[in-house]
Amino acid sequence: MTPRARLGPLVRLVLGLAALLTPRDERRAWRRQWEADLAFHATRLDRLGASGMNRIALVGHSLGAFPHGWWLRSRRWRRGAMMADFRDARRSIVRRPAFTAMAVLVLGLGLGANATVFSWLDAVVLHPIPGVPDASSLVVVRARTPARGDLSLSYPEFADIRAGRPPGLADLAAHRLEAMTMQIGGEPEQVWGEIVTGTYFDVLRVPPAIGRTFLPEEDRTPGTHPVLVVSHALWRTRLGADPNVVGRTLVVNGRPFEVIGVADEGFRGAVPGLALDVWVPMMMQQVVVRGDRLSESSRGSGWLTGIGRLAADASFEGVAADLDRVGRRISEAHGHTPGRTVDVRRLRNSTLGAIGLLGPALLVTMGAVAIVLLVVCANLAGLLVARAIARGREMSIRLALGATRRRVIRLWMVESLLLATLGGAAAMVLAVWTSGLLPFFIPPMSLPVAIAPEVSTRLVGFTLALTLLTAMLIALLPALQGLRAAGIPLLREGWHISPGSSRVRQGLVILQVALSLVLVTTAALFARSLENAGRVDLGFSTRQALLGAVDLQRAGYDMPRGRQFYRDLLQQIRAVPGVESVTLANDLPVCGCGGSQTSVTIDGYEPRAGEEMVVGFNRVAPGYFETLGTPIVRGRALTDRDTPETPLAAVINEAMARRYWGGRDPIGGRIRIGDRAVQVVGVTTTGKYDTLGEAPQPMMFFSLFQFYDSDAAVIVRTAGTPAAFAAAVRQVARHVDPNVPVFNVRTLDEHLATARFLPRMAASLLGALAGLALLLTVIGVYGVVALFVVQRQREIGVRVALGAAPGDVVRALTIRGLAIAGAGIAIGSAGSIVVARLIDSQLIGVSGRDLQAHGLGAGLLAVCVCAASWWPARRAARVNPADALRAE
Amino acid sequence: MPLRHPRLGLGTIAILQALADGRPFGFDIMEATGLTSGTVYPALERLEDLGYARSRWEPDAVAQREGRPARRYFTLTRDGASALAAARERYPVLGLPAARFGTR
Repeated sequence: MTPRARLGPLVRLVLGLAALLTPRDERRAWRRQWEADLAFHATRLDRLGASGMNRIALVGHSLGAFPHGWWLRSRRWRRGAMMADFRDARRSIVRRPAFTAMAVLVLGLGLGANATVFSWLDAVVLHPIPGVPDASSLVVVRARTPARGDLSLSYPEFADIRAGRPPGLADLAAHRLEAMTMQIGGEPEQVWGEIVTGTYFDVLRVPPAIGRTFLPEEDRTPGTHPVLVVSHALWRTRLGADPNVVGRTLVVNGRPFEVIGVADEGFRGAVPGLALDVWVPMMMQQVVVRGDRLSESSRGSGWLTGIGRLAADASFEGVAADLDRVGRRISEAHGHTPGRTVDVRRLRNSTLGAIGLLGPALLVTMGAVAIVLLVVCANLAGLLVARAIARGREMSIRLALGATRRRVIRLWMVESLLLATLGGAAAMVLAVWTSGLLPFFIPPMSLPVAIAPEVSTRLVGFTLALTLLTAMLIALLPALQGLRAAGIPLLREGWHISPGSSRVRQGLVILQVALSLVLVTTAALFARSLENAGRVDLGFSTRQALLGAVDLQRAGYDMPRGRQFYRDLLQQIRAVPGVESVTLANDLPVCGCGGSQTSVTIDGYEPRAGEEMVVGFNRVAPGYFETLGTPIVRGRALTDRDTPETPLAAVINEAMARRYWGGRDPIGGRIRIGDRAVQVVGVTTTGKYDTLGEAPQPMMFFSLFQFYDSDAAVIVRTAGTPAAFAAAVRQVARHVDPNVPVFNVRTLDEHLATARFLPRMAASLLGALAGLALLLTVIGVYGVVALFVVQRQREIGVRVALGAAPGDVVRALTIRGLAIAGAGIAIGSAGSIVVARLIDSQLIGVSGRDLQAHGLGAGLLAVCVCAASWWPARRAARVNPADALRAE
Repeated sequence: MPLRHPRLGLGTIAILQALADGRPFGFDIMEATGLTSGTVYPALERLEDLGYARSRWEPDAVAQREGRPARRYFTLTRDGASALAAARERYPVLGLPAARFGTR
């Protein structure tokens, strides 16, 4: 029997398994050692007799092979290749402080920018509503028609949807953001809150910190239960953290409400990006919002957003399909616009609050910084390839001394990983510092914005993953190139001329050129968009004007008193010296707030199949068109003569006249809204009403005195700096009624700045990123051509010595640079076109295919690349041929 | 070679002592110290790394004569002997006989 066979099958199995742990190159010797020792022991045991017990003992002893094998492997790790690689990597990095510093800086910027934008995206889109558990099962429920999506729900509509909801939608609540006036002992102050249905807190699963949330009976009958819930922050800061706050009375919009609870700390309402302080039940609607919005007759006025939670095992698609059916059924039963149904989206796909405002912009930014990181990677990879070639000699020695190719690659990977890790650390520091900058990117608004990007485990995880990916990207090519260089036989010192590596570096530069072109073109598109934003014909004069707002609902005004207030206010402000004219309007132009719409029927106009007869409108005071500088082209403007006693009048814009009256004269035409008939008395020019980028749309203007609203903006055209009139206007209002403050006082320029904010932000941010990418690319091109020149020094010397003119040399090299540019621009243009289509919706007045922008981008890049290749070329031409020939 | 004696566990000291007592083979050391193979073999590797022991293989002739594979065996080095002496000073309770020191 062979010694091995004498060990028995069990022992052989144990040794076989333990052998797997042992490092491969030590395995044979290790196995020999064990088999020898065990065989010797087995023989001795046999000689002593009692062989059954011996077998078991032998197996027991053989089990020690496992820890032994493991120990050998871990020793390999501890003092073996990995540590050596790490030490080598560290040494080579320290030996080139300039290169390392630059690489870490560039990586830090690239990774840091990505981390920052991710943290913003995380705060705005991925975790928009703090304090709400399991936000991924929340859905936003609104309405849509074949023509438009994302429409508000009316209360009767919401109630029907909730009653008929599928089992997949566990529950549904409705909410609406509203400003209120609250009196907390003393002066009334403005607070922001929501008016919500009874199950709001249940749907969101937000428990009360103190007291309770709403009961079903508080959600049943209008006006019966004046109760409210306050936020934890309000309770702490304004109510003195009173432990007995439940039962306290707070006066809201002139009515006393009883505090029934304080919401959980960390919950600030269901509008992403805002910090709200109070929640009022839907049944108290009349106190907070003017008019009856709860009864059946209000079915046509949408003002609510539904928020619901999916049941545990429900699929979103299934629930959406079910809700679509429910929506159509309701809409048919009540004669709504044909095809009106439910628009349900996941929270992160909704347009709620900050998600709608910032979401698209953040996604574009995320794309841009990702491209910058790719450029950084390509750039560094190119530099590392050059290093790898230079170290080719070192690598061939290593290979000759027995290192495997795998080890050489691993060496490079460790070095890149080390660089990337340093860059990643720098990136985290940068991200922590810059994520607090997000508020700068939010347009100035009068709302309580509270977006706090935080350094979460998600951010750390993202940065780590990105760092690893970056490390792999910048390591692979240099490693392979280094191996190839190491394979070239060592004949002499000096540069290895390896055409393969040259091609690789050129390929990387072409990639950088292409990526930079995409960014530059995008930036150019946004710049043109911004330019257009500044030049868009708004349809009104932007000369000095002061804006303000009043809300009579909160002061408890009814219709007759409200009208009188308006009259008095206008009269008094007109009397202020320096005021050219003053007017009121329900919606300010270019407010970005969506404005008001209503369904209409127009006498003499037959709607086409599927056409939605919904038109925007604004309620304005006399003098509106004059104050705003919007000319009347036919008929008359709205005047003092339009009163509740006279026939209802409307001024329409040219877009509306064209659509519904064609070439005919619209004056005298009749428009029916609900049960009221309005006569067209005048036509005005078409302007911008909601956003700067909107298409021309039909618009109706009614008299604020005939169609009363308690919400009005004050527009004062002044003969001097508008800001100087702010105090006077406030004083006048106080004189008319001290309980009605004029708030949100600002100049028209400031108001328009808000509208232009996002285009300006996008243009500057993208411009900066494009500039960074371009700089890196130029450096990359310079590096490649310069290296090429050095490598070809002898060849150039020979050529010049044989009579070639220096100009020829320059030309040859510049042509090479042009070739690189050309290839990069070709690829980049294709990419730009794809990207431009994606951002088309964000642009104002220019389409994604705008030739000027694409041409500008390509031209800029061509010039930069040529300049970057011409410079080293010139130096090459000045080389003394004798020196070149002598040089090695 | 290590510049100073790293602290050794009692089991390792026992193994050093066994080597000093003239037991070169793994299983002999196991019997002498009462430690298991999972402890003894890694410890012997470690002692070799530290330079306290040296490993060799039995001459092939010896093994062939006895009809079995050649075994690997360990001997104490001079550094190992001094490490053992230091251990005896550190742990007087072990009462290791002074006469046992010295290399083979």
